[in-house]
Amino acid sequence: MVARQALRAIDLGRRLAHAPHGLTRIPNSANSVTSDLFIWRRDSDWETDFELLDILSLIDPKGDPPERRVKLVVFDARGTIVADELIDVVPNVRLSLHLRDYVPASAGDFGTFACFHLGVDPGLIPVGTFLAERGYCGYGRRSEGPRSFVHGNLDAVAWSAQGLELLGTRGLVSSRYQLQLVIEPGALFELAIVNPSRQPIKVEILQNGRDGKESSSIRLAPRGSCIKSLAGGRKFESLVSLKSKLPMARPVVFFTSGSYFDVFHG
Amino acid sequence: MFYPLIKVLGLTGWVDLFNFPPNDWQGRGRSTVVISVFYPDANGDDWVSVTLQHLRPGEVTRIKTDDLPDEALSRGAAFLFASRQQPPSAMSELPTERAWNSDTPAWRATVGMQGHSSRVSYQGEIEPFPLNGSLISFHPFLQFVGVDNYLLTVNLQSLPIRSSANIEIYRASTRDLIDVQPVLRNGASIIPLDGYGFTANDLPVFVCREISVIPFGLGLSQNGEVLSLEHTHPPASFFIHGERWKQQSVVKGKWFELLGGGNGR
Repeated sequence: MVARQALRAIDLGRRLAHAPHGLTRIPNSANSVTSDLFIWRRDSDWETDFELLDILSLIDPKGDPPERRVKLVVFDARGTIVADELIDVVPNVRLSLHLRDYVPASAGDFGTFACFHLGVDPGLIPVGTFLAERGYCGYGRRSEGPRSFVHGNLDAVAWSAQGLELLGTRGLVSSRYQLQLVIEPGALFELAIVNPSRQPIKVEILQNGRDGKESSSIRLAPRGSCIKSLAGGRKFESLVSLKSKLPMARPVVFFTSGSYFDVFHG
Repeated sequence: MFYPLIKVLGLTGWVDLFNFPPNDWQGRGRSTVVISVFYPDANGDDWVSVTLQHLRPGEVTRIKTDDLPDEALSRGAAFLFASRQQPPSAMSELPTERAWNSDTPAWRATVGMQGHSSRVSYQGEIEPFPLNGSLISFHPFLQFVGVDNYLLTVNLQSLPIRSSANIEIYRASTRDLIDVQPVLRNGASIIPLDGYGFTANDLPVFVCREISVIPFGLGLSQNGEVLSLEHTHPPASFFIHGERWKQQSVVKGKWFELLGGGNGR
Protein backbone atom coordinates (compact mmCIF):
# COMPACT_ATOMS: atom_id res chain seq x y z
CA MET A 1 0.00 0.00 0.00
CA VAL A 2 2.74 2.40 0.99
CA ALA A 3 4.80 1.36 -2.02
CA ARG A 4 1.86 2.01 -4.36
CA GLN A 5 1.31 5.45 -2.87
CA ALA A 6 5.00 6.20 -3.25
CA LEU A 7 4.92 5.20 -6.92
CA ARG A 8 1.86 7.38 -7.52
CA ALA A 9 3.67 10.29 -5.87
CA ILE A 10 6.66 9.69 -8.14
CA ASP A 11 4.38 9.62 -11.19
CA LEU A 12 2.73 12.86 -10.15
CA GLY A 13 6.08 14.48 -9.51
CA ARG A 14 7.34 13.47 -12.94
CA ARG A 15 4.22 14.77 -14.62
CA LEU A 16 4.51 18.10 -12.81
CA ALA A 17 8.13 18.39 -13.89
CA HIS A 18 7.68 17.35 -17.52
CA ALA A 19 4.20 18.64 -18.32
CA PRO A 20 3.09 21.01 -15.55
CA HIS A 21 0.45 22.62 -17.75
CA GLY A 22 -0.59 19.52 -19.67
CA LEU A 23 0.03 19.56 -23.42
CA THR A 24 -2.23 22.43 -24.45
CA ARG A 25 -3.04 25.71 -22.72
CA ILE A 26 -6.60 26.95 -22.44
CA PRO A 27 -6.99 29.95 -24.78
CA ASN A 28 -7.37 33.31 -23.07
CA SER A 29 -10.50 34.30 -24.95
CA ALA A 30 -13.71 32.31 -24.67
CA ASN A 31 -14.32 33.09 -28.35
CA SER A 32 -11.06 31.60 -29.60
CA VAL A 33 -10.86 28.96 -32.28
CA THR A 34 -7.81 26.72 -32.49
CA SER A 35 -5.73 24.96 -35.10
CA ASP A 36 -2.77 22.69 -35.52
CA LEU A 37 0.38 24.22 -36.97
CA PHE A 38 0.46 22.00 -40.05
CA ILE A 39 3.68 21.52 -41.98
CA TRP A 40 3.77 22.74 -45.58
CA ARG A 41 6.52 21.78 -48.02
CA ARG A 42 6.93 23.33 -51.41
CA ASP A 43 10.11 22.67 -53.28
CA SER A 44 11.32 20.70 -56.28
CA ASP A 45 10.39 17.44 -54.53
CA TRP A 46 7.29 18.12 -52.43
CA GLU A 47 3.79 19.51 -52.74
CA THR A 48 1.29 20.01 -49.93
CA ASP A 49 -2.50 19.95 -49.97
CA PHE A 50 -4.91 20.51 -47.11
CA GLU A 51 -8.36 18.96 -47.05
CA LEU A 52 -10.50 21.83 -45.82
CA LEU A 53 -13.91 20.89 -44.47
CA ASP A 54 -16.53 23.23 -43.06
CA ILE A 55 -16.32 21.83 -39.55
CA LEU A 56 -19.21 23.95 -38.33
CA SER A 57 -21.58 22.29 -40.78
CA LEU A 58 -20.34 18.90 -39.63
CA ILE A 59 -20.98 19.84 -36.01
CA ASP A 60 -24.43 21.22 -36.77
CA PRO A 61 -25.72 19.58 -39.96
CA LYS A 62 -29.31 20.71 -39.59
CA GLY A 63 -30.81 23.87 -40.94
CA ASP A 64 -29.59 26.30 -43.55
CA PRO A 65 -26.04 27.32 -42.68
CA PRO A 66 -24.84 30.88 -43.32
CA GLU A 67 -21.93 31.60 -45.60
CA ARG A 68 -18.78 30.88 -43.71
CA ARG A 69 -15.10 31.60 -44.07
CA VAL A 70 -11.85 30.14 -42.85
CA LYS A 71 -8.84 32.28 -42.01
CA LEU A 72 -5.72 30.66 -43.44
CA VAL A 73 -2.49 31.92 -41.86
CA VAL A 74 0.81 30.77 -43.35
CA PHE A 75 4.11 30.99 -41.46
CA ASP A 76 7.64 30.59 -42.73
CA ALA A 77 10.21 28.44 -40.93
CA ARG A 78 11.01 31.27 -38.53
CA GLY A 79 7.37 31.63 -37.52
CA THR A 80 6.80 34.88 -39.40
CA ILE A 81 3.40 35.35 -41.01
CA VAL A 82 3.85 35.29 -44.79
CA ALA A 83 0.23 34.99 -45.90
CA ASP A 84 -3.16 35.63 -44.36
CA GLU A 85 -6.21 34.79 -46.48
CA LEU A 86 -9.93 34.37 -46.06
CA ILE A 87 -11.35 31.33 -47.82
CA ASP A 88 -15.02 30.67 -48.46
CA VAL A 89 -16.13 27.21 -47.41
CA VAL A 90 -19.18 25.31 -48.53
CA PRO A 91 -21.07 23.04 -46.15
CA ASN A 92 -20.60 19.30 -46.43
CA VAL A 93 -18.15 19.27 -49.31
CA ARG A 94 -14.41 18.83 -49.50
CA LEU A 95 -12.12 21.61 -50.64
CA SER A 96 -8.53 20.62 -51.40
CA LEU A 97 -6.27 23.61 -50.84
CA HIS A 98 -3.03 23.58 -52.76
CA LEU A 99 -0.64 25.37 -50.42
CA ARG A 100 1.51 26.35 -53.39
CA ASP A 101 -1.29 28.79 -54.31
CA TYR A 102 -1.04 30.59 -50.96
CA VAL A 103 2.65 30.52 -50.03
CA PRO A 104 4.70 33.44 -51.42
CA ALA A 105 7.73 32.48 -53.48
CA SER A 106 9.99 34.18 -50.95
CA ALA A 107 8.76 32.08 -48.03
CA GLY A 108 11.25 29.27 -48.47
CA ASP A 109 10.77 25.56 -48.90
CA PHE A 110 8.79 24.75 -45.78
CA GLY A 111 6.93 26.27 -42.85
CA THR A 112 3.60 25.87 -41.13
CA PHE A 113 0.03 27.00 -41.56
CA ALA A 114 -3.12 27.20 -39.49
CA CYS A 115 -6.82 27.26 -40.37
CA PHE A 116 -9.27 29.11 -38.14
CA HIS A 117 -12.97 28.60 -38.68
CA LEU A 118 -14.82 31.90 -38.34
CA GLY A 119 -18.42 32.60 -37.49
CA VAL A 120 -19.02 30.12 -34.70
CA ASP A 121 -22.69 30.49 -33.83
CA PRO A 122 -23.27 31.54 -30.22
CA GLY A 123 -24.51 28.58 -28.24
CA LEU A 124 -23.18 25.97 -30.66
CA ILE A 125 -20.20 25.09 -28.49
CA PRO A 126 -20.35 25.07 -24.67
CA VAL A 127 -18.33 27.59 -22.68
CA GLY A 128 -14.93 26.11 -21.92
CA THR A 129 -14.83 24.05 -25.12
CA PHE A 130 -13.19 25.40 -28.27
CA LEU A 131 -13.44 24.59 -31.95
CA ALA A 132 -10.31 22.80 -33.23
CA GLU A 133 -8.92 22.23 -36.72
CA ARG A 134 -6.95 18.97 -36.74
CA GLY A 135 -7.55 18.11 -40.34
CA TYR A 136 -5.65 16.29 -43.00
CA CYS A 137 -2.60 17.24 -45.03
CA GLY A 138 -1.75 15.40 -48.22
CA TYR A 139 1.91 15.34 -49.24
CA GLY A 140 3.02 14.38 -52.73
CA ARG A 141 5.94 14.50 -55.11
CA ARG A 142 4.23 16.12 -58.10
CA SER A 143 1.52 18.72 -58.35
CA GLU A 144 -1.06 16.19 -59.50
CA GLY A 145 0.49 13.00 -58.19
CA PRO A 146 -0.78 10.74 -55.43
CA ARG A 147 -0.80 11.98 -51.87
CA SER A 148 0.20 10.47 -48.55
CA PHE A 149 -2.24 11.81 -45.95
CA VAL A 150 -1.44 12.77 -42.37
CA HIS A 151 -3.89 14.00 -39.76
CA GLY A 152 -3.21 16.91 -37.45
CA ASN A 153 -2.71 16.23 -33.78
CA LEU A 154 -1.04 19.30 -32.35
CA ASP A 155 -3.42 21.83 -30.80
CA ALA A 156 -0.91 24.56 -31.30
CA VAL A 157 -2.43 27.96 -31.87
CA ALA A 158 -5.60 29.92 -31.17
CA TRP A 159 -7.08 32.94 -32.87
CA SER A 160 -9.58 35.47 -31.55
CA ALA A 161 -10.23 39.18 -31.95
CA GLN A 162 -7.23 39.62 -29.66
CA GLY A 163 -4.98 37.96 -32.23
CA LEU A 164 -2.92 34.79 -32.38
CA GLU A 165 -2.02 32.87 -29.24
CA LEU A 166 0.32 29.89 -29.03
CA LEU A 167 -1.04 27.04 -26.90
CA GLY A 168 1.95 24.71 -26.58
CA THR A 169 3.39 24.19 -23.12
CA ARG A 170 6.89 23.67 -21.75
CA GLY A 171 8.19 21.45 -19.02
CA LEU A 172 10.32 22.52 -16.10
CA VAL A 173 12.84 19.90 -17.19
CA SER A 174 13.67 18.43 -20.59
CA SER A 175 11.76 15.42 -21.89
CA ARG A 176 12.98 12.83 -24.31
CA TYR A 177 10.52 11.82 -27.01
CA GLN A 178 11.60 8.42 -28.23
CA LEU A 179 10.24 7.64 -31.67
CA GLN A 180 8.88 4.11 -31.76
CA LEU A 181 10.17 3.79 -35.27
CA VAL A 182 13.08 1.92 -36.86
CA ILE A 183 15.32 4.14 -39.00
CA GLU A 184 16.37 1.90 -41.85
CA PRO A 185 19.67 2.25 -43.70
CA GLY A 186 19.49 3.28 -47.32
CA ALA A 187 16.32 5.34 -46.96
CA LEU A 188 15.88 9.04 -46.35
CA PHE A 189 14.11 9.98 -43.13
CA GLU A 190 13.27 13.62 -42.54
CA LEU A 191 11.74 14.87 -39.29
CA ALA A 192 9.50 17.95 -39.33
CA ILE A 193 9.50 19.60 -35.90
CA VAL A 194 7.37 22.56 -34.78
CA ASN A 195 7.64 24.82 -31.73
CA PRO A 196 4.09 25.56 -30.49
CA SER A 197 5.34 27.20 -27.30
CA ARG A 198 5.75 30.90 -26.54
CA GLN A 199 9.49 30.78 -26.02
CA PRO A 200 12.41 29.67 -28.20
CA ILE A 201 13.35 26.04 -27.69
CA LYS A 202 16.37 23.91 -28.29
CA VAL A 203 15.76 20.40 -29.62
CA GLU A 204 18.48 17.78 -29.46
CA ILE A 205 18.19 15.01 -32.02
CA LEU A 206 19.88 11.80 -30.96
CA GLN A 207 20.37 8.89 -33.38
CA ASN A 208 21.68 5.66 -31.94
CA GLY A 209 22.49 2.31 -33.53
CA ARG A 210 25.23 -0.23 -34.14
CA ASP A 211 26.97 2.36 -36.31
CA GLY A 212 27.33 4.54 -33.21
CA LYS A 213 25.66 7.64 -31.85
CA GLU A 214 25.15 10.96 -33.53
CA SER A 215 23.58 14.05 -32.11
CA SER A 216 22.72 17.47 -33.37
CA SER A 217 20.62 20.31 -32.10
CA ILE A 218 18.37 22.94 -33.54
CA ARG A 219 16.81 26.10 -32.14
CA LEU A 220 13.26 27.00 -32.99
CA ALA A 221 11.56 30.34 -32.51
CA PRO A 222 7.94 30.35 -31.33
CA ARG A 223 5.85 29.10 -34.28
CA GLY A 224 9.13 28.11 -35.90
CA SER A 225 9.66 24.84 -37.72
CA CYS A 226 12.49 22.74 -39.03
CA ILE A 227 12.91 19.75 -41.32
CA LYS A 228 15.88 17.72 -40.24
CA SER A 229 17.35 14.95 -42.42
CA LEU A 230 18.70 12.06 -40.42
CA ALA A 231 22.23 10.96 -41.08
CA GLY A 232 22.69 8.85 -44.17
CA GLY A 233 25.46 6.40 -44.80
CA ARG A 234 24.59 4.10 -41.93
CA LYS A 235 24.83 0.38 -42.49
CA PHE A 236 22.55 -0.68 -39.69
CA GLU A 237 19.18 0.22 -38.30
CA SER A 238 19.01 2.97 -35.72
CA LEU A 239 16.60 4.69 -33.34
CA VAL A 240 15.94 8.38 -32.85
CA SER A 241 14.84 10.51 -29.93
CA LEU A 242 14.19 14.22 -29.52
CA LYS A 243 15.09 15.97 -26.27
CA SER A 244 13.58 19.35 -25.45
CA LYS A 245 11.42 21.23 -22.98
CA LEU A 246 8.37 20.33 -25.07
CA PRO A 247 6.40 17.65 -23.18
CA MET A 248 5.86 15.74 -26.42
CA ALA A 249 8.04 16.76 -29.37
CA ARG A 250 6.29 14.52 -31.86
CA PRO A 251 7.54 15.07 -35.41
CA VAL A 252 5.99 14.37 -38.78
CA VAL A 253 8.21 11.87 -40.60
CA PHE A 254 8.89 12.05 -44.33
CA PHE A 255 10.22 8.71 -45.55
CA THR A 256 11.64 8.34 -49.05
CA SER A 257 13.15 5.22 -50.58
CA GLY A 258 13.82 5.16 -54.29
CA SER A 259 10.67 6.18 -56.10
CA TYR A 260 8.25 5.74 -53.21
CA PHE A 261 7.47 7.77 -50.13
CA ASP A 262 5.40 7.71 -46.98
CA VAL A 263 4.52 10.51 -44.57
CA PHE A 264 3.29 9.82 -41.04
CA HIS A 265 3.46 10.92 -37.43
CA GLY A 266 6.59 9.75 -35.65
CA MET B 1 -2.60 -2.09 -25.85
CA PHE B 2 -3.01 -4.36 -28.85
CA TYR B 3 -1.39 -3.83 -32.22
CA PRO B 4 -3.16 -4.87 -35.44
CA LEU B 5 -1.30 -6.99 -37.94
CA ILE B 6 -3.28 -6.41 -41.12
CA LYS B 7 -3.43 -8.52 -44.28
CA VAL B 8 -5.72 -7.18 -46.98
CA LEU B 9 -5.64 -6.80 -50.76
CA GLY B 10 -2.67 -9.15 -51.05
CA LEU B 11 -0.42 -6.74 -49.15
CA THR B 12 2.01 -8.01 -46.54
CA GLY B 13 1.34 -6.59 -43.12
CA TRP B 14 4.02 -5.88 -40.56
CA VAL B 15 4.33 -4.42 -37.10
CA ASP B 16 7.46 -3.12 -35.38
CA LEU B 17 7.18 -3.52 -31.60
CA PHE B 18 9.39 -1.62 -29.15
CA ASN B 19 10.10 -2.70 -25.61
CA PHE B 20 10.93 0.80 -24.46
CA PRO B 21 8.56 3.67 -23.72
CA PRO B 22 7.98 6.68 -25.98
CA ASN B 23 9.26 9.10 -23.33
CA ASP B 24 11.71 9.09 -20.45
CA TRP B 25 9.25 9.80 -17.68
CA GLN B 26 6.55 7.15 -18.04
CA GLY B 27 6.49 3.40 -18.57
CA ARG B 28 7.68 2.02 -15.26
CA GLY B 29 8.63 -1.61 -14.71
CA ARG B 30 10.69 -2.37 -17.78
CA SER B 31 11.05 -6.10 -18.10
CA THR B 32 11.18 -8.84 -20.67
CA VAL B 33 7.74 -9.29 -22.23
CA VAL B 34 6.05 -12.12 -24.06
CA ILE B 35 4.76 -11.20 -27.51
CA SER B 36 1.62 -13.12 -28.44
CA VAL B 37 -0.90 -12.92 -31.22
CA PHE B 38 -4.65 -13.17 -30.55
CA TYR B 39 -7.42 -14.14 -32.95
CA PRO B 40 -10.93 -15.60 -32.51
CA ASP B 41 -11.26 -19.37 -32.88
CA ALA B 42 -13.35 -20.88 -35.67
CA ASN B 43 -16.52 -20.99 -33.57
CA GLY B 44 -16.16 -17.62 -31.90
CA ASP B 45 -16.00 -19.28 -28.50
CA ASP B 46 -12.50 -18.32 -27.42
CA TRP B 47 -9.57 -16.14 -28.27
CA VAL B 48 -6.66 -18.22 -29.51
CA SER B 49 -3.34 -17.00 -28.18
CA VAL B 50 -0.07 -18.04 -29.79
CA THR B 51 3.22 -17.02 -28.22
CA LEU B 52 5.60 -15.68 -30.83
CA GLN B 53 8.69 -14.58 -28.94
CA HIS B 54 10.16 -12.82 -25.94
CA LEU B 55 11.32 -9.25 -26.14
CA ARG B 56 13.92 -7.95 -23.68
CA PRO B 57 14.02 -4.34 -22.44
CA GLY B 58 15.27 -2.04 -25.16
CA GLU B 59 14.71 -4.54 -27.96
CA VAL B 60 12.77 -4.06 -31.18
CA THR B 61 11.16 -6.73 -33.30
CA ARG B 62 9.32 -6.85 -36.61
CA ILE B 63 6.49 -9.34 -37.00
CA LYS B 64 5.01 -9.95 -40.45
CA THR B 65 1.80 -11.54 -41.56
CA ASP B 66 3.98 -14.19 -43.23
CA ASP B 67 5.09 -15.24 -39.73
CA LEU B 68 1.55 -16.25 -38.74
CA PRO B 69 -0.56 -19.28 -39.62
CA ASP B 70 -3.29 -18.62 -42.20
CA GLU B 71 -6.03 -19.21 -39.66
CA ALA B 72 -4.78 -16.28 -37.58
CA LEU B 73 -5.46 -13.91 -40.48
CA SER B 74 -8.73 -15.34 -41.73
CA ARG B 75 -10.46 -12.12 -40.65
CA GLY B 76 -7.95 -9.77 -42.25
CA ALA B 77 -6.19 -8.92 -39.01
CA ALA B 78 -4.74 -10.51 -35.92
CA PHE B 79 -3.78 -8.62 -32.79
CA LEU B 80 -0.36 -8.55 -31.17
CA PHE B 81 -0.07 -8.19 -27.41
CA ALA B 82 2.75 -7.78 -24.89
CA SER B 83 2.46 -9.35 -21.44
CA ARG B 84 4.77 -10.17 -18.57
CA GLN B 85 3.53 -13.76 -18.37
CA GLN B 86 2.64 -16.13 -21.18
CA PRO B 87 -1.13 -15.92 -21.66
CA PRO B 88 -3.28 -19.07 -21.74
CA SER B 89 -3.66 -20.58 -25.20
CA ALA B 90 -7.43 -20.06 -25.08
CA MET B 91 -9.23 -17.21 -23.33
CA SER B 92 -12.90 -16.30 -23.24
CA GLU B 93 -12.04 -12.59 -23.10
CA LEU B 94 -9.01 -10.54 -24.06
CA PRO B 95 -6.52 -9.97 -21.24
CA THR B 96 -6.74 -6.68 -19.37
CA GLU B 97 -3.16 -6.59 -18.11
CA ARG B 98 -1.02 -3.87 -19.67
CA ALA B 99 2.72 -4.50 -19.59
CA TRP B 100 3.28 -1.36 -21.63
CA ASN B 101 1.75 1.82 -20.29
CA SER B 102 2.22 5.46 -21.13
CA ASP B 103 -0.18 8.20 -22.11
CA THR B 104 1.96 11.09 -23.38
CA PRO B 105 1.86 9.63 -25.93
CA ALA B 106 0.36 6.16 -25.88
CA TRP B 107 2.82 3.30 -26.27
CA ARG B 108 2.70 2.79 -29.99
CA ALA B 109 4.03 0.47 -32.64
CA THR B 110 4.77 1.03 -36.29
CA VAL B 111 1.90 -0.67 -38.12
CA GLY B 112 2.50 -1.08 -41.82
CA MET B 113 1.66 -2.79 -45.08
CA GLN B 114 3.78 -3.25 -48.15
CA GLY B 115 3.27 -4.21 -51.74
CA HIS B 116 5.72 -5.04 -54.50
CA SER B 117 7.21 -1.58 -54.79
CA SER B 118 5.90 0.60 -51.98
CA ARG B 119 4.87 0.53 -48.39
CA VAL B 120 2.92 2.55 -45.85
CA SER B 121 2.82 2.78 -42.09
CA TYR B 122 1.32 4.65 -39.17
CA GLN B 123 2.09 4.85 -35.46
CA GLY B 124 -0.78 3.03 -33.85
CA GLU B 125 -2.35 0.86 -31.26
CA ILE B 126 -5.86 -0.32 -30.50
CA GLU B 127 -7.73 -0.91 -27.27
CA PRO B 128 -10.81 -3.16 -27.41
CA PHE B 129 -13.95 -1.21 -28.27
CA PRO B 130 -17.18 -1.62 -26.25
CA LEU B 131 -19.42 -4.41 -27.55
CA ASN B 132 -22.03 -1.86 -28.56
CA GLY B 133 -20.61 1.25 -30.15
CA SER B 134 -21.08 3.43 -33.17
CA LEU B 135 -19.13 5.31 -35.79
CA ILE B 136 -19.41 8.39 -37.93
CA SER B 137 -16.48 9.19 -40.19
CA PHE B 138 -16.08 12.06 -42.63
CA HIS B 139 -13.66 10.82 -45.24
CA PRO B 140 -11.64 13.35 -47.30
CA PHE B 141 -9.05 10.86 -48.59
CA LEU B 142 -10.34 9.95 -52.06
CA GLN B 143 -7.76 10.47 -54.79
CA PHE B 144 -8.42 10.68 -58.52
CA VAL B 145 -4.91 10.46 -59.96
CA GLY B 146 -4.24 6.82 -60.64
CA VAL B 147 -5.07 5.68 -57.14
CA ASP B 148 -7.38 2.86 -56.06
CA ASN B 149 -9.33 4.03 -53.01
CA TYR B 150 -10.57 1.86 -50.17
CA LEU B 151 -12.11 2.18 -46.74
CA LEU B 152 -10.22 -0.08 -44.35
CA THR B 153 -11.86 -0.77 -41.00
CA VAL B 154 -10.33 -2.44 -37.95
CA ASN B 155 -12.41 -3.58 -35.00
CA LEU B 156 -11.39 -5.29 -31.77
CA GLN B 157 -13.71 -6.26 -28.93
CA SER B 158 -13.05 -8.12 -25.71
CA LEU B 159 -15.25 -11.10 -26.67
CA PRO B 160 -14.18 -13.36 -29.59
CA ILE B 161 -17.26 -12.62 -31.69
CA ARG B 162 -17.02 -13.55 -35.39
CA SER B 163 -20.09 -11.80 -36.73
CA SER B 164 -20.20 -8.63 -38.82
CA ALA B 165 -21.94 -5.27 -38.59
CA ASN B 166 -23.15 -2.92 -41.31
CA ILE B 167 -21.58 0.32 -42.46
CA GLU B 168 -23.77 2.79 -44.31
CA ILE B 169 -22.19 4.96 -46.98
CA TYR B 170 -23.53 8.45 -47.66
CA ARG B 171 -22.60 11.59 -49.58
CA ALA B 172 -22.50 14.44 -47.02
CA SER B 173 -23.95 17.07 -49.34
CA THR B 174 -27.06 15.12 -50.36
CA ARG B 175 -27.28 12.72 -47.41
CA ASP B 176 -28.43 10.00 -49.79
CA LEU B 177 -27.79 6.44 -48.65
CA ILE B 178 -25.49 5.04 -51.32
CA ASP B 179 -24.74 1.58 -50.04
CA VAL B 180 -24.56 -0.69 -47.03
CA GLN B 181 -21.58 -2.99 -46.59
CA PRO B 182 -20.64 -5.52 -43.92
CA VAL B 183 -17.56 -5.03 -41.75
CA LEU B 184 -16.06 -7.63 -39.48
CA ARG B 185 -15.97 -7.60 -35.71
CA ASN B 186 -12.51 -8.55 -34.44
CA GLY B 187 -10.91 -8.18 -37.84
CA ALA B 188 -10.17 -5.91 -40.77
CA SER B 189 -12.49 -5.21 -43.71
CA ILE B 190 -11.96 -3.56 -47.06
CA ILE B 191 -14.59 -1.62 -48.98
CA PRO B 192 -13.63 -0.40 -52.48
CA LEU B 193 -14.82 3.19 -52.93
CA ASP B 194 -14.18 3.89 -56.60
CA GLY B 195 -17.44 2.43 -57.83
CA TYR B 196 -19.73 4.87 -56.05
CA GLY B 197 -19.25 7.83 -58.36
CA PHE B 198 -17.78 10.18 -55.79
CA THR B 199 -16.22 13.33 -57.25
CA ALA B 200 -13.31 15.43 -56.01
CA ASN B 201 -15.56 17.72 -53.95
CA ASP B 202 -17.66 14.96 -52.45
CA LEU B 203 -17.27 14.18 -48.78
CA PRO B 204 -18.18 10.55 -48.15
CA VAL B 205 -19.71 9.79 -44.75
CA PHE B 206 -19.53 6.35 -43.15
CA VAL B 207 -21.96 5.43 -40.39
CA CYS B 208 -22.12 2.34 -38.26
CA ARG B 209 -24.83 2.11 -35.63
CA GLU B 210 -23.69 -1.20 -34.12
CA ILE B 211 -19.97 -1.10 -33.41
CA SER B 212 -16.99 1.22 -33.36
CA VAL B 213 -14.14 0.73 -35.80
CA ILE B 214 -10.98 2.58 -36.71
CA PRO B 215 -11.75 3.93 -40.20
CA PHE B 216 -8.74 4.28 -42.49
CA GLY B 217 -8.45 5.66 -45.95
CA LEU B 218 -6.23 3.29 -47.90
CA GLY B 219 -4.98 4.42 -51.28
CA LEU B 220 -2.96 2.24 -53.62
CA SER B 221 -1.20 4.12 -56.35
CA GLN B 222 -1.48 2.21 -59.61
CA ASN B 223 2.14 3.00 -60.48
CA GLY B 224 3.38 1.62 -57.16
CA GLU B 225 4.78 4.98 -56.10
CA VAL B 226 2.82 5.35 -52.90
CA LEU B 227 0.42 3.68 -50.59
CA SER B 228 -1.56 6.05 -48.41
CA LEU B 229 -2.99 5.03 -45.07
CA GLU B 230 -4.51 7.41 -42.56
CA HIS B 231 -7.43 7.22 -40.19
CA THR B 232 -10.06 9.87 -39.75
CA HIS B 233 -10.60 11.49 -36.38
CA PRO B 234 -13.77 10.93 -34.37
CA PRO B 235 -16.00 14.01 -34.00
CA ALA B 236 -14.47 14.77 -30.59
CA SER B 237 -11.46 16.02 -32.54
CA PHE B 238 -13.52 19.02 -33.66
CA PHE B 239 -13.21 20.27 -30.10
CA ILE B 240 -10.59 20.88 -27.47
CA HIS B 241 -10.91 21.23 -23.70
CA GLY B 242 -14.13 21.14 -21.73
CA GLU B 243 -16.92 18.82 -22.85
CA ARG B 244 -15.34 17.53 -26.04
CA TRP B 245 -16.50 13.91 -25.57
CA LYS B 246 -20.00 15.00 -24.69
CA GLN B 247 -19.98 17.08 -27.85
CA GLN B 248 -19.01 14.00 -29.83
CA SER B 249 -22.24 12.34 -28.70
CA VAL B 250 -24.18 15.44 -29.68
CA VAL B 251 -22.66 15.48 -33.18
CA LYS B 252 -23.28 11.78 -33.70
CA GLY B 253 -26.85 12.13 -32.50
CA LYS B 254 -27.58 14.94 -34.96
CA TRP B 255 -26.16 13.05 -37.93
CA PHE B 256 -27.75 9.73 -37.01
CA GLU B 257 -31.14 11.41 -36.74
CA LEU B 258 -30.63 13.32 -39.98
CA LEU B 259 -29.58 10.24 -41.89
CA GLY B 260 -32.49 8.23 -40.55
CA GLY B 261 -32.58 4.50 -40.20
CA GLY B 262 -32.95 2.43 -37.11
CA ASN B 263 -30.35 0.95 -34.87
CA GLY B 264 -28.53 -2.00 -36.31
CA ARG B 265 -29.88 -1.84 -39.83
